[in-house]
Amino acid sequence: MKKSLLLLCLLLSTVSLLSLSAFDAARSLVEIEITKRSYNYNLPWVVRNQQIRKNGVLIEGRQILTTADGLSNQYLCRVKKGGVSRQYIAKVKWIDYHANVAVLTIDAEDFFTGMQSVPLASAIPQSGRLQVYRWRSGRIEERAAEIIRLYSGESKMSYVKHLTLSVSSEIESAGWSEIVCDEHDLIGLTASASSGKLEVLPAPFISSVLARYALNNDAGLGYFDFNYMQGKNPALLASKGLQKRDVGVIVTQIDPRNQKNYSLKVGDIILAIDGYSIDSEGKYMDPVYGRLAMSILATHMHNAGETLPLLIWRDHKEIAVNYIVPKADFTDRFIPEQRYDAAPEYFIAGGLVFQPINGPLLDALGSNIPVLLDYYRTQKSAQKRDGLIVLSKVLPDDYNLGYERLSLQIVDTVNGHRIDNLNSLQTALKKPINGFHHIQFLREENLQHIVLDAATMQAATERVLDHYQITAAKVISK
Amino acid sequence: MNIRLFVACISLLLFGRFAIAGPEQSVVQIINYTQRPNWIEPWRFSNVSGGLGSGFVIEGQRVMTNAHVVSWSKQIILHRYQDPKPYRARIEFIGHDCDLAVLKVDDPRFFEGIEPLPIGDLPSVRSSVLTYGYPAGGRQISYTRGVISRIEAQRYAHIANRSFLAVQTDAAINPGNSGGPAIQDGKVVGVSFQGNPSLENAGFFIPPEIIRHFLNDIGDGHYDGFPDTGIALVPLINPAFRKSLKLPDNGIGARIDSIYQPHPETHARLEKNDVLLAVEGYSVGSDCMIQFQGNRVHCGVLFDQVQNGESVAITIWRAGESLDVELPVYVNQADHISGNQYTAPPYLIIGGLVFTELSSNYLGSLGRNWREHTSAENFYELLYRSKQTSLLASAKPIVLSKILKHSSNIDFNVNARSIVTEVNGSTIQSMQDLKDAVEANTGNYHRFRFLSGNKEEALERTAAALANRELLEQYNIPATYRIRGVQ
Repeated sequence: MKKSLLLLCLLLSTVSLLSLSAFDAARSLVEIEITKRSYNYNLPWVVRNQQIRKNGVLIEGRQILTTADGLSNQYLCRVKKGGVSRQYIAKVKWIDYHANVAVLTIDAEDFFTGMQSVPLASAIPQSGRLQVYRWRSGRIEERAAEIIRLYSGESKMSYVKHLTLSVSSEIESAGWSEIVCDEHDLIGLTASASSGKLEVLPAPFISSVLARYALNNDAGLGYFDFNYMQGKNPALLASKGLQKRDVGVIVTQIDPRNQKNYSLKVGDIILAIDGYSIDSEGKYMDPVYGRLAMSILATHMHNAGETLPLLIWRDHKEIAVNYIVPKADFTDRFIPEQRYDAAPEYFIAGGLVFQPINGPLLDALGSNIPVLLDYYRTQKSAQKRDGLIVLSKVLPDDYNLGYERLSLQIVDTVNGHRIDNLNSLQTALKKPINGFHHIQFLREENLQHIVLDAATMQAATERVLDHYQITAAKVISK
Repeated sequence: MNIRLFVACISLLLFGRFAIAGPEQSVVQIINYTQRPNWIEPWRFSNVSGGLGSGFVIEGQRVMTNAHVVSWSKQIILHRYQDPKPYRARIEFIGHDCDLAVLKVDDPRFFEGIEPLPIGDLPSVRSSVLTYGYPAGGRQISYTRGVISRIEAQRYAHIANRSFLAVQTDAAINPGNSGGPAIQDGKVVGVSFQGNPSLENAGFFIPPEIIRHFLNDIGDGHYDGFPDTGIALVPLINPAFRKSLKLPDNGIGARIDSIYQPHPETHARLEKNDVLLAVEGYSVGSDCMIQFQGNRVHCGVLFDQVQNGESVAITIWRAGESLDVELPVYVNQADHISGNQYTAPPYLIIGGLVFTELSSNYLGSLGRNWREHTSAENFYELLYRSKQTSLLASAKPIVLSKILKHSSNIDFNVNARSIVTEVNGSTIQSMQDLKDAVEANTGNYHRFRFLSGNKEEALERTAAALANRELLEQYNIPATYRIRGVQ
């Protein structure tokens, strides 16, 4: 009797042990090899080849989950599982650069043999220990991590702010979508690493992104498109007739292209969003996660297109307005901060190289960035333009004699037409004035006006392409 | 035999006398005790410092030297050649744009036995020149010899935002030489003034053209300065551009790309894309250069030869034909802030908030890596005003330099170095605007808007006045404001 009882206890404990250790990294974790094109915005016609390795994890629906980081411009993805040497061809099923989430699929049936999907945690702890996993030379590397804090952080890949988990760990060279787990569930994927800290994309955020993609008409990731400052100075609130203190943030900037029909005005004090009171540091009390910055209210619980009720202070009284959450979209910005899955755009005419001003171009210039370009990077718009084109360099040819030293001059008009993008540049160059092309640069530039011959431009372009071994005169996105 | 010996002795005596009475008799050593303002906390001045330079006596019982030798002066002491006695001097006129100054000496005995040095003409390249001065490395007068290497327009570092004709020599010009004469055939052909540390054996002096302009200018008892046309002239080399302007491809003519603000007289007579064919009879090349006394120099030097309000005869090409224009030129009073300034900066303190003018000097005071600490917006406000409108070109951006902390401003949520755009509903284009906006306010709050991030802030008015009184006492600040020399 005692023996059978002992056996039963042993059996039960074994069973429970088995269910607790259901998570087996070796059966869920994969290594992803990405082969991609890489570009140099300083020489936009040069294409190089690059290969990187990162991590992914099998989730339900036979999907490999990973961060979007590193996938831009990929053309070949391969996945390794279980520490074996065989590489399986994978396809990118969908990718959301704003959220930094991507899903891959594999056609080969035998890939899934012996594999186990990992559930995503529905809530994440705010303190305590976690484990970080990755493949290293065919073996699972498991490292300890300790939670530092939960906060609203800026995405590594975009300007969107979302719930982020910060953990400390001694793991080196991480931040490539290593998986962070507790005993059962996936807590998140690492997005970046520095000085012993990892920033983790948390599972609840990833789940909300996955849920959006499951819908037919994905509305997109939302974000707050206005700038605001903290309402910490009681004199500032009192000067607007608000006698309370330590409440609210003040709206300082809205996109000048949006000003019509916009629910908020510069100077409004935002007192509450979606029923949550906003304090003077711009934070609210989240029912699950405690005090967080208000910026995540647009991403955490809502999608783009949804209406958020706001309580604001304007004209010395409290009023309720409805804020429609805009969709995060790089191309919507005056100077787009990022550009993914696309070659750099450029247009060569007579040896003059034109490029749109965007984040990757400005980053490629490094510390050589001229003051004027640096200035326009900080602006939400310039004379209500949609974008700016720069004459980045001149490839010397007899045709452009006298202009060889021009570099990084911002274009204002061509043949009298205002230029916002390469399409309008291309169109304007079809309309010369009395046989000449007139290119005007912004008023602040050192040189404001150049003239080129219209009839011989095409021949000059062809000569330049041949002389400088450039295959295409232009790359313009549709 | 005896007669020959007698003549030889007399010659030796005569020659000896000429050798003794050389130009060095007229060269003086200048000691300048200085105190500079603090651009970040403009009510403060630095510790007293000393600088050494040279100068020389010119007619009219004056000593000529560089402006940078005697700037920020609290006391000037002069020493004559091989004479230990110190003499007090004061600035009579100073030209910061051309880096020249003339001094008057209190004691008239200073000039006894000294021959004033005459001003000569522009020397030729390849000719020899001797410099006289008191450079570092010793305490006695020093001589160096060199050739004239090149004559061109160069940036004058003292003001930093103007270029004038300058003569380059390989004669060593070292710190302390500044203000000393460069002599050729007994005449002053230049005033040593700057070097170029990145070049070897390259020193510069200010040529007679600039010296004469300065001396003629002060003839009426007031220094006006060098006029500025406001023309941005650029080379016109591309054949298509020339053809579009109906100009032959003959290498003559440079193009007016734009005209800076304000310069109303130039705007009234000239247009963008006018081509400058000739100035005062000198043909202007397509590279903007003229042939000037054997040297190829920028045609701008011709505009530096006339005084404030005088006219320059130019020939332009417009709409396919040639046009003669008399262009009156004036000193640009509007811009101070992009070049170096030599008067104490204006400031105003309200509620512990210290406001001052944005200027090149202010930014330079932010430390060695000031370019990295300065926002692109602040650079834009400093550098691009003269390309916009006349109003903006004359405006002076006002920046919040510092917050002297007090309980009434402890939560003021704007960083230092932010430009203030609006106060109490008024646009701020000058320190006077700020003062007026603050003083005219009868409401309960002072309201501010700043450029960076379009932030707004407020101070309770009576609390701010009280804070000012307490802070001024606490920090030994002599006055709440200084507006352009008026305290």
